[in-house]
Amino acid sequence: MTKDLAHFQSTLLEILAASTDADGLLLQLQQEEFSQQWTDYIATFELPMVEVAAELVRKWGKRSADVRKP
Amino acid sequence: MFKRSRPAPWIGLSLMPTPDFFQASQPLFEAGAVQVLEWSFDMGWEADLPDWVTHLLEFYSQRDRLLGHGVTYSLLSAQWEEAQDQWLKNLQEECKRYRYRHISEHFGWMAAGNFVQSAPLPLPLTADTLRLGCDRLNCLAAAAKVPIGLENLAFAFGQRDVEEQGTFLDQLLAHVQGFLVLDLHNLYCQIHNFQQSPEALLKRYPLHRVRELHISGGSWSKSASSDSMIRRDTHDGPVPEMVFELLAIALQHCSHVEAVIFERLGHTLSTETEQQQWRQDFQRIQQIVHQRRR
Repeated sequence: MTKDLAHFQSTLLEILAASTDADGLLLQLQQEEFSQQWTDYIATFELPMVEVAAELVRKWGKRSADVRKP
Repeated sequence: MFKRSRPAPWIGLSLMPTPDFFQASQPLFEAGAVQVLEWSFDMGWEADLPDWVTHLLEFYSQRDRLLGHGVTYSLLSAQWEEAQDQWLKNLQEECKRYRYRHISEHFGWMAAGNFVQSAPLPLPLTADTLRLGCDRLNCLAAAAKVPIGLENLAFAFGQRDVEEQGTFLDQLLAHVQGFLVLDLHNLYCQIHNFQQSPEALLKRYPLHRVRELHISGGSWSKSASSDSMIRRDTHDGPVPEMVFELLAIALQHCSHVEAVIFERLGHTLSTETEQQQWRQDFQRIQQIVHQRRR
């Protein structure tokens, strides 16, 4: 289960961080190969909120490589 | 025959280590109006804090009026990382340095894969996610050694998150006899963004577990994909009227509230007008809390 959730979480953040348009982002999430429980969860996502999430992750996202830089 | 009145909750501030916050809040501290102080301790771990901040922390700690509120633990991250281990060690040291009445964190997760931090995001309630959250709360409780709690999240991807969060929080907190930090502006965001009725949304939460209320303002943003305005939990504006109304309602329904904490982001009180408005909002909170005593 942990691997399944970890895959969902890391993939979600990568897609949100890389996105430029919410429509394409939601489509990409829907096409990812997640297990059924995460596919079902993504089906409940609303487009305006996905937009907000992408903006937040782009603004506050910090990668481990960024932290290690002196 | 006799109705025994409960003591009124303490009213306090979330401490921001910025010059504008110092300037805006000084009259309130000098008047003795700040009865309790909340500190986001993990925001201070890598910062060089000014003396006035450490003096305030010591003052409130010595009087047992200091509350701890973590930001970056990332309770529901699947991967347990070195950073979380270090976070817990830092918390143990923090609790030796200052006396906290309780420690709270946020529902949700913000770290995964290569990301050590992002924004707090929700997860659905399943047997697995509940087990994960309970394990992480055990770690938090072991490190803090004081009562621990969780704050409700403003952000939701969709209706499922809105409908499940209260139950999820209840089941997590039941596991550690924890308390709920009910953030009223976070509720307001969901009321607006998901067309919820205030009373119905409040009832989704375990109000008997509420020990602390948060109140703040925020901002609006326009959605690119629709014509709708999205309410954002940015802590950078005045408190909306509906949030004051939610405070009055919450005080009626939550019988174990010990503290009401007014939040405002640092560097957002740069003008005299903003500072006056902010102090007026604080006074309005005082009025509502004191009216509730009668």
